This record gives sequence, structure tokens and C-alpha cells, in this order.
Amino acid sequence: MRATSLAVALTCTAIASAAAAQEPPPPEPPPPKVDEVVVTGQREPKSAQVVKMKRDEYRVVPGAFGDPFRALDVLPGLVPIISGLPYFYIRGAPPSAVGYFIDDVRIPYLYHFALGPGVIQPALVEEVSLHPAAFPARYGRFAGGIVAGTTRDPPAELRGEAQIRVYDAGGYAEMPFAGGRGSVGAGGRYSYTAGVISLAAQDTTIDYRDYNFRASYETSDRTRLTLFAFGSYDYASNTRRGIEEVAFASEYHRADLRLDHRGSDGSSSRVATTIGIDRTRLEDARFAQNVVTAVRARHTRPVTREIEMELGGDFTADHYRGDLPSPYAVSFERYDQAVTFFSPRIDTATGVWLSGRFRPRPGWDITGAIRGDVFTSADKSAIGPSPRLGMRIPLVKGVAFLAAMGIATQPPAFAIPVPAVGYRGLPGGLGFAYQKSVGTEVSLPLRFTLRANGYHHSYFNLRDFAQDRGRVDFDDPKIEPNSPLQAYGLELFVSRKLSERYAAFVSFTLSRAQLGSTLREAGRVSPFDRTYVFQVGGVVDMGRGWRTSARFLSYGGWPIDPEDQAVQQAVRLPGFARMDLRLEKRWTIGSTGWISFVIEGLNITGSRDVTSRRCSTDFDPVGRTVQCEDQYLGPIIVPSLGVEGGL
Amino acid sequence: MRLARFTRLVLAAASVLAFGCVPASDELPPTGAAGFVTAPSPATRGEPFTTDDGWLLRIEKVALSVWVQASGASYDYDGIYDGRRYGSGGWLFDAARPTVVYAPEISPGGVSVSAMLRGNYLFVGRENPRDRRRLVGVAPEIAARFNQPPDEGFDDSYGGLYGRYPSGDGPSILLAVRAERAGRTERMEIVLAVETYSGSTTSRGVLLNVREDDVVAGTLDIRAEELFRGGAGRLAFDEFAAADVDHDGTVTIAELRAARTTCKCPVTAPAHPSTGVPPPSLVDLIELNAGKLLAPR
Repeated sequence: MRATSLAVALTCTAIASAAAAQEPPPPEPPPPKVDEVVVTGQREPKSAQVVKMKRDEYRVVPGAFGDPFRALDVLPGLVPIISGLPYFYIRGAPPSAVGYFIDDVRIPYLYHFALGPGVIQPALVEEVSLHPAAFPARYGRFAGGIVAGTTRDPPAELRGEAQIRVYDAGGYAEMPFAGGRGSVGAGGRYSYTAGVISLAAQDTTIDYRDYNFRASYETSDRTRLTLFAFGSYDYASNTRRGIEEVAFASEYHRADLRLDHRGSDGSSSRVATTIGIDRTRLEDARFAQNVVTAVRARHTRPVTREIEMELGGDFTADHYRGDLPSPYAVSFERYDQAVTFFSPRIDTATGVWLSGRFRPRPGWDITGAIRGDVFTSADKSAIGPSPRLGMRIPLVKGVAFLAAMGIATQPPAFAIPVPAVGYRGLPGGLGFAYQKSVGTEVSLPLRFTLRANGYHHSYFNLRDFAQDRGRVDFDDPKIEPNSPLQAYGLELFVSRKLSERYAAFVSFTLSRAQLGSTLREAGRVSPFDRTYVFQVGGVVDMGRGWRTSARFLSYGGWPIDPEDQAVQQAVRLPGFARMDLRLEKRWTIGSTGWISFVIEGLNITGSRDVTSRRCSTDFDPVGRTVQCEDQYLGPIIVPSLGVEGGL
Repeated sequence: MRLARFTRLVLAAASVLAFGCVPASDELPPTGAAGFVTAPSPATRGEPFTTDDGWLLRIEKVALSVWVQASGASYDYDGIYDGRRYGSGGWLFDAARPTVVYAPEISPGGVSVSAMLRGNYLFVGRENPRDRRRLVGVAPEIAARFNQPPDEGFDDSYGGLYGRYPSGDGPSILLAVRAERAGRTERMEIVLAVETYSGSTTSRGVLLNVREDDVVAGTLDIRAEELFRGGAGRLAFDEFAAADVDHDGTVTIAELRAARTTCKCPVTAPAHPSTGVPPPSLVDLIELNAGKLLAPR
């Protein structure tokens, strides 16, 4: 999204009238008084490629627990792996191909381990965006899609929010200084899950925490310097016979220093540098670390009233370090895995882009971009071109045509995004996505909007642990990439802004992900494909501070392996349906303060995902009989009881 | 709230929140590897040699699938079972070049190490398990050939819930030979699934003392010429050349299977010590001789 500030200077000059000619000349009039009125606002450019959720919308999505990034799962195109877990296929692209950004800073993950909340405090986030295709040129190196968040502008007065829930507490506060030229804010979340869980399972430890810090200062009316630091920590272990075994431990930290400048000609520039550190320890007791250093710059400038250009570049260096065991001390498999993921090395990625946006009339948006990235790792290098084109063209009043197409590239990435764990030497080459979508946007009565998109995406050389669900093997280094994948489908989203007093949405995805043919492998349905995902929900402001929202979600079951279909007498596993509910009572304190009591539940129906079907054969005098039994995961139910408040 | 106070509060909170640290790797239990340095004979390295019946043979290609096994006392001094005193490692390698083959992850101490020819168990028509062998010096197409049925195919099938699939031991020997005598040239390229059995020469153990984070190795002689050992211990190619009944200069697996051998060697052949009958075909003769292909010392 591009936010622009419109500065309008109005000059009013008062000129004293001349006195009568015969009278002596009056004293010099005072110099003309100039009043500058600055009107700021955000233009809402409508785009074909992006779906956004604003702050006042994501807060009320039931089952999202006020988390901006979790709320995105109401949008079509996202196909959940398991209900409740924040891992998705976006238009068929696996989780390894989805990039997460906050204020253009790449981060390894957005959520704490498993069912944990987001790592960025909701009070900091202004809006979140989902870019399923032809994403803005500044986002590169991911083939599947981009989830991006933008932080709020610094406040003019003390501002903050806090939540206390059964399993964690968090908050964020920010205050201005230097007469409003600067601001400083800090916050974080601390989980006491470890204590809560230990009451029921003394051998299990789950812990997470995060912090956010931001300081900004306006060095001039048009220039702002911002330091944004944040980090996250997750830990899960199990104690057996008095020995604590770490199942998963991960942390990352980022410090981003940026300089933003708004030109008098409507241009805007950003120069930034980021340093960070990622650390992960996997189940096999291996430790990995990555020190991230990055710089980026972009300049956006209106060329004419209708055309705006952006030129930018970025560079990232990842310094990987890990503990490599002796090749003689571990099995071949474990050693290969360690070499693949933990070999010391420096991976670099350098990207440049040029994009142009053409808006000849209100509602029009034609954006073209060319981006190129060069990747290096362990003496190997590869070039990834990424041209993109998106358009939104109004056809008649209230109806617009949407289209997007693009190529996106990415270096080899581990099937599940894990900090500090990556592939050495670009094995298998770059992953590619060819994205095409076309659709329409229709304004409906009662301020409802219908957005419909058909898409066809092709993916090559990505890594997905889900290639064969029957053999999910987290120890498989997957040095060889997956076979090609074709994904196509239809997305429908009917909604009224969730911030309205009465609001509702319907989200429907009809899709198919097909593993493509290769010389050695025939095409077949991707084992984690779901034919449909359907959601319907609504928000009602009942007055007196009461607000409730509910969501019903249902999706189709995974396909059964073709060779098992005859035995299991089915083509797909059973589908899934769940209900989420949120109830909030809010009291207003003073002019801007508030406190809320929130009850929320994800999957209050206690539904279970069917993950497989197990069959056995019995031989009896009559003949052979096959008995099958569904295997379940869950139910994953997340209840939440908490108090939230803000200044 | 004054800025200084706010800043102090921020720093205090940050110090609590930021410095959770991911623990470093656990210390691994001390282990090492035991195995062999292969010592290919001159013939195995591709040097021409003359058989006792006057053929000039040159082994052009020889790749082997070998499993190295190490086993020691299964119980430590306290009588507690220690599974790491046994281990194995699969290798697929170009036998013409010296290679270190070993079984990793063995606890320090004395072990008996042996090497045996063995291929992966393979299915036809369904996905095979991941190939866990270590590949050394073999081209991708040769490695791929070792994951397909041997030249003779499978005579067994795997039955399960979903039907029956042809299955069996995959290849363990790939051999390409060129033979010349008196202006006549014969070629032979075969892929066989030979498994050397307990009691054969190859399974005799070599005693080694395993050290932590190191490999200790005996010597594994590889003598590809032994595959052509005929009666009375003579190296001979006449019977193989005679198997080329269509005189196209190439001896196929079908021709080898059809040809009978006159060798009276099975009495001393280790692969079938109890049979006492001559091998019925030249394929059987090669498989019999495969027991002398690897010689650990």
C-alpha cells in the first residue's frame, strides 16, 4: 500500500487599501500574513492484487484473538493445513513460499509456536495486507505470496493498549516527546503458559515471549528517523527421566533503522538498514544461528498527475552458523541433514526494481513492475527475474475488472519456515511461480462489496513437506525440490466493513492443487489439497458497549492417495466444520480510554480434523473384509478469557 | 509519565523480555566409525589382464553396493544394553578407485567389521523407500540403475493391502567387460543382485578399535577378476564367449542364463557351501564367484 500525504498550502494576503492621495502616506502595512493549513490523509488506492484489513476490522474477527495477522485467514485463497494452526497454502503455494514482512522488514514468522499469538503487538499494527499474486515490487524472494503489516504512525499523545489473558499478558505504550517531534514506545508479551501447563502436564514446558520497541524523531517537517526493534522467543520441551529434551526452541531479533523523507513534489523516499539474529534448536539437539544484515532504499515520485514511479533496491546477507557433528559420529542421514542446514556460509540476495503506477481516472490502477534478484550461496549463484503486472479498470459504475499476472522467484527454503535454517548452495536452483488471475469487484447495496477472482498459478522447484502426506518426514532434508505444482480456483469474498455497526462477510474458495507431471511422475492431486474453504461470519454492535461476532468455517477433506482409494472406498477424507465466537463488553474511560472484557473461543464446537484413514484386512471364511478407521487430530480448541484496555 | 522514567521502564522490560536464549546443542555421546579402505586390484582398476585361456580382458566399469557392518559387545560393563556397538552403513561406489567405506555412529571400543554385497530392496509399481546409501564416484545414471530391478528382474512379489507388486533385492554389482582374443571382441555389461551370505569370505570380520569422532579402517581388497574364476581355480572367459550364440559381439544376460557351465567349483565356493552341485548357468557362476569379490583384511 502506498500512503501519501497531501500538503495543501493556502496563502491569504490582505492588502491594505490606499489612503486618499492628499493625506500623508500612512505607515507601512504589516507584511502579509501567511497561514499554512496542512491537511493529511490517506488515499485509498484500489488495487487488483492486494486485500487489506484495517485495525478496526481485524480486532473483531472471531477466532483471531485480536491479532491482525491471524485475522487474515478469513480471506479467500488461504487454505488451512489444520484448523487453528496459522500455516496456510496460499493459492496452492506451500508455507515455505510465503513471505512475512512488517514495515518492509522480512521476518521468519509472525506467530508464536503452534497456537501462539502474533509476535507483533496489535497496538502497533495499522493494517495487514495479503498479496497473493503480482505483489508490489519491493517484496521479492518469495514465490507464493506475501503477508505484510504496516505499523501505525507515531502518536500525538500518550497511547497504549494491553491485554491480560489466561495464558499470557501483553501490551504496548507509546508517548511523544520534544513537542511531538519524537515518540518512543515499548511493549511485549509474556506467556505464563509454562506455569499453566505444568499444572496439568508437569513434564511439558511451553514458553513464549516477545518485545517491540520503537523510537522516532522528525528531524524536519518532512523527514523522520525511526528505530524499530522487535523480537520473539519460543521454547517447547519435554522432561523424561529427569532430563529435559528440547523439542523446539527459536528466537529472532530485528533492529531496523530507517529514514523517511517526503518531498515537496509529492515524492517519498526511504533508506533503511536492518540487523538481526535468528537462533533455532531443532529436536535433534542441533543449534543454528543466522546473523542478518540488510540495507534497502526506495524512492517514489509522481512523474505526472497520473503516473507514479518507484525505484528501489535492497541487499541482504545471511551469515549462517551451526554445529556440525563429525561425519563419523552420526548416521549418514543425520550428517547430510546437518551439512544441508547448518554449514557455515554467507548467503546473499541483491534486488533492484522499477515499478510504475498509472491512474488515469479515479478507480483505475495499472501497475507494472520489473524486479531482479541475484542470489549467492556457497560459491553458487542464480538470477531471478520477477516481472509483474496488475490492473483494476472500472467498467461501469460500481463494477471493476481486476487482473494480475507475474513471475516470482525464491531461493530454496525449508518446507516449514524456521529461523536460521536454510539450504546451502542453492540446491535444485531457484523456485519459480507463474501467477495469473482475473476477476471483478462489484459494489453491492448496503455498502457490501463482492470481490471474485479466478486464478491459475504454476509453481516450480519449491519444497513442500506435503508432497506426499502419507510419508511426511520432518527429518527429510528435501535437498531435491518438489515436482511442479499447478493451482487453480475461484475466490469469492462478499463483505461489509467489519468496523460497521452491523457487518458480515462470506468467504469462499473453490480450488485444486495438482502436482504436475514430470518424466518420472504422473500428475496427481496435491495431498494437502482442499476442494473448498467456506466461511461466513458477522459482527453486531449491540449497544452499551456490547459487541459480538461469530464465524462458521468449513473446508473439504484431504484427498486419499489414488492407490488407497479402492481399499478405503473414498476419494477424499471427511471435511471439517467449526464455529468461532467472540463477545466483548467495552467501557469507555475519559475521552479516549477504554477497557474491555473479552470472551473468545476458536472451535467452540470441538470439531476434529480427520488427517488419515487406517485400514486393516481380516480374512474369514467368507472372504477378505477391510475395516477402516478415521484418524483424528484434535480437537484443537482455543478458549480465551481476557481483559483489554487502551489509552 | 516523564520520559526518563519511561525509558528506565522500557529498558527494564526489554532486558526481561529480550534475552531468552535458545540453548546450544547437546553434547553428543562419543561415537566414531569403523570400516575399510578399499584396495582395488589392478584388474578392478581397469588394467587389462590375460585369462588362463588366453583372453585379454579389460574391466571397463565396476560399481558395487556394499554394506559395512560393525558389531561389538552389545552390553557395557554394567550389563546395560548399548545399541551403538552395532551399526552399519550402505555404500554405492566406483570400485575402480580406492574409497573409504565405513559404518558410522559406533561407540568407542573393539568391534568386528565386515562388508557384504547387498542392494536395496525394491518394488516395482510403487514408490521405494529413500536410498540411504552413501554414493561415491558413481554417475547419476549408474546410481539410478541401482534403484531399478537387476537384469534378471524379480521373481518375487510383495503382497499387501493394496495388491501385489514385483519386488526383491536390487542390484549390488554393475560390471562392464571387454574381452579380446585373436581379433575377436566380446562385450558384456550386466547388473546383478548378489547378496553375499553369512559364512562367505566377505562376511569375515576384521577386528578394529573404534575411536571418538574418527574412522578406523582395515583394508578391503576388491578383485573383480574373481568373477571369472572357473574350474580348478583358472581364470577363464571361453564359456562366456561361447554364450554369445548370436555372434553379435555382446553377451547378454539371457545368453548367460541359457549357457551351462562345466565348472566343478561349487564344492569350494562359499556362496552355496551346502549345495554341492555345479551352478546351472553362467549367471549362477558369477554369483557364486561374487563371494570372492571382496576380501577384508
